[in-house]
Amino acid sequence: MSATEATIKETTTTATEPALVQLHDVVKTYQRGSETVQVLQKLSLDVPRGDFLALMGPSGSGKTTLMNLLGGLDKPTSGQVIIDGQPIHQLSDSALAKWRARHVGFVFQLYHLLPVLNAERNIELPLLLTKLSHSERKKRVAAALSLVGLHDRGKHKPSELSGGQEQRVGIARAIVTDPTILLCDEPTGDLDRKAGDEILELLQVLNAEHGKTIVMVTHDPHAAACAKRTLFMNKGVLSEEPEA
Amino acid sequence: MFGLIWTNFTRKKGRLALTLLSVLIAFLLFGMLMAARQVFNPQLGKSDQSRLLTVNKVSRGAPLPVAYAQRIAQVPGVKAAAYATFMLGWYQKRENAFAVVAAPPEGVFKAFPVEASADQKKAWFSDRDGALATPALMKAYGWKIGQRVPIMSTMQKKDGSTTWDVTIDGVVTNSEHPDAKQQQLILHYDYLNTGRATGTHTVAMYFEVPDDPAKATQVAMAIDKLFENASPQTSTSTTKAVVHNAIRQAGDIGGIIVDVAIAVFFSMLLVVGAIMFQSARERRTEFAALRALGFTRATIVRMVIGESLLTCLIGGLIGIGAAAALISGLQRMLDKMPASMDITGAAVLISVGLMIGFGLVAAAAPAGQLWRLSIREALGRM
Repeated sequence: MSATEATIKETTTTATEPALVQLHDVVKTYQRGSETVQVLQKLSLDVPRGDFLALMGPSGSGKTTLMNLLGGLDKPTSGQVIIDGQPIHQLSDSALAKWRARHVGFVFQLYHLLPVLNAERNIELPLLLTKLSHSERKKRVAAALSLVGLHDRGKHKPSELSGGQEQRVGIARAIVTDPTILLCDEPTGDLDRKAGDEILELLQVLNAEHGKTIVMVTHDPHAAACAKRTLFMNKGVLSEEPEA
Repeated sequence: MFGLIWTNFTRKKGRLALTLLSVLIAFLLFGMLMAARQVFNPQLGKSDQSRLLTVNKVSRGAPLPVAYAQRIAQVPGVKAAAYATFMLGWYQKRENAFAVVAAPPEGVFKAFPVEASADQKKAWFSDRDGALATPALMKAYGWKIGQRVPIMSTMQKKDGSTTWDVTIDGVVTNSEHPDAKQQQLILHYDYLNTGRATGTHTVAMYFEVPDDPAKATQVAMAIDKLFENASPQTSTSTTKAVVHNAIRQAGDIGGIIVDVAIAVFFSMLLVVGAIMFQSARERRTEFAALRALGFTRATIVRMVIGESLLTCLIGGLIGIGAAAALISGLQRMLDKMPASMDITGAAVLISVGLMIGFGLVAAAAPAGQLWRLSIREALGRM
């Protein structure tokens, strides 16, 4: 499929198993003063369950806007955003928040951990929105901490952790609710190479061994190489090849 | 969720201490004000609305002849009349001062809202140098019924002494203010009148109870008309009017204090509101991250309101508690005064209502700001 069609369909998607993520003719425009800026241009995308997709592209190309739409943090101007069969573009603000709590795990570049809470309580945050008992929440937090290799750092506050450890806590918080999809925004962007590699390795494990569907925005070709496939965004259009 | 609110509430200890101190002082002030209102606005009894008071028209402090009594009692519309004269008395030392009222025994229980047991009344009626004491006075000096006590005063006796020996015949209570804490002693008018060196056969004022409270004004006019051409002339008005007049000056001063205190009270709560606003503003990114994790706008707003309510309730309750402790100390000093200070249950309820109200008001601005928060803009990148 050509870049000019602005349509990327994963070849493995079959008629019997619809893609986990389906974007159809998504347009997103912003108003900057009197000027209307079209950030995404009739973009279509399928991401099958279990995929690990890296999104690359220059700053301002629309990657973050696309992630915002996938995560239910923003709504398209037109088109459809369907995640796991749910047309989330139709949901109200409140319903979207509840949907995010259940289906999306965010991994932020700057971690966005609450500095006053220790690692365990940061990881527990999304579980506060569920009806789980305190003991059940503790079990899940312990499992998530163990999965990211920080079982002995649960009582440490973010200021007492290294950047790599903070990002691991961020990942544990993202997976503790067992979300449908993990959205990672430059997860290694604030880390040195060694810590970054450990995070990428962790994401690969989550994808390969735990079946997590991951969409990752990155500027780093090395990070993108860890994904199963890479798409390139340029001026609101997706393509399989970087623009020359 | 409460754990999260509590952690955020206590995240900056220094700022929390200062904020709580502001609320504490505001409600300490409010508690004192509520108590002080009782001093500046004493509750009048039912009979005060219609009971009449006759004083010297030229000067309220000047005496009237006791001979007016019979004529006043005969004025149409007067159901009961009594007269009284007063002096300052003290027991053992000058600091133990209290009011001494001298009145005719038969008139005391008709014209004043006071009560005593039948046998004590009977004992006092027949004991010319007997006295009735209020419960507060009995308690203050541990007096017993039948005890002989020397009362020192500013009023000189014919023999040159200023000590009046009396026997405590009974306890007299105020039927309209059973909890009144006044320290008063009631003597026979005859005992004081025949014993004193000067001012014999005079009284400080007359008290009248009209047949029909609705006609109190007409009765007052009739009494004054009776002495229109006498010397001295009289001035009669309802007890309510006299009391209001007497407290007006104090009330004016009280009003100024109340106004200033209210201004300070609101200023401090504005400070709290500003601190809440600043605190929420500093945490915009954190709140945006929570929104991204699935916290709804309503949940975020509830968290902010929760922090604000905690601030106002904890600071406010400590403030009201401090006011109660302070007033309790002051109360011991005020026991001898006619007015009492106290933080009532109603005052505590009003205070708690204000704490909740101010908690909600202080949270309004930051809650509004966070309600409009754009996750996309607050997080910059996602």
